[in-house]
Amino acid sequence: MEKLLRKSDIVLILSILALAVGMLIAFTHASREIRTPRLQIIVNNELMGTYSLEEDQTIRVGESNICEIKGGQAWMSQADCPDQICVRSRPIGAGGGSIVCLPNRIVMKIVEAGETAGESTDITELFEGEVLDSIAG
Amino acid sequence: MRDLGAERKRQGKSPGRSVAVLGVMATLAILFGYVEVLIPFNFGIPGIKLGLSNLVVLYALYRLSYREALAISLVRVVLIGFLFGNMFSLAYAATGAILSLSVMAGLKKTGVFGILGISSAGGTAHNIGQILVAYLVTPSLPLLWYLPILMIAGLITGLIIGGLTAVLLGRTEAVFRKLG
Repeated sequence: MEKLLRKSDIVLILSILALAVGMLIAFTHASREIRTPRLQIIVNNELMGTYSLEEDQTIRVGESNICEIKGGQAWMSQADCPDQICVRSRPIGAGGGSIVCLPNRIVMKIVEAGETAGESTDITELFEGEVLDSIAG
Repeated sequence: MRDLGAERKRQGKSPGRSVAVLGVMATLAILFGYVEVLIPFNFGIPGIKLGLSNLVVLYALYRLSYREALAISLVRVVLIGFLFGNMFSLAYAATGAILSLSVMAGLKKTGVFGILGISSAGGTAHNIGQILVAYLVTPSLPLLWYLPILMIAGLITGLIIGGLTAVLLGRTEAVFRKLG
């Protein structure tokens, strides 16, 4: 009877194994990238930009507001509105959440990259039109 | 099948005997698929099974020929599909079976690989085929997660089946020679 396990068999088996493990690693990496939460800033129902929470930065939102990202947390550091609700809101981070500045129609929210700009504006749709105007007064 | 019969006849083997052997083997393959349910072999991942019936197909590939192994495999898949499955399960099984057997026959033909390597590559190819069909039916990316997992599972089950077939081939050598 021929030899059960030749050297070529070992090579074949190991290369299949390597391919599978390589795919697992690649997928894990890719999905981590996708699942990393990011900060979205939406102004007037339009997406202004998506920002990584990893790097600290200060973002000017229009003339009126300044948003700050530091240590994986994001908050509104300055706003010209009278109520200052957004400035007093708790910082938001990887756990999710949103900060809304109604007078200036700004929404900061945490999204996972899987969600795209299109579907992520649904929160602002709640405040759309009359509702927003009446609240903002 | 008539072709096959003629081929066997040229080799000095009666077509009737050939049909009988193929019939017995196809039956065995179907029964193995049934018996397999009784053997606990579970990684906690759905869709992973030992693939005992592949033992018969691999055996046929070594003892008989590629075409006869293909015949056994297809008869098994179609019968099981009609009896217990639906069109989808038939498509899954057929793709897996054909892909697996093609890979095994191709690797065997090179003459470089032994039965363990061939069998584990066949098991892997079988599972790749299934994921392929599943992806065509419902394209979703998370499905691809299954691909490497099922590849490794196919590798392991292929190794087991290959080892079993090697033992079986050795033990039945004398019997088969006597049958001629």
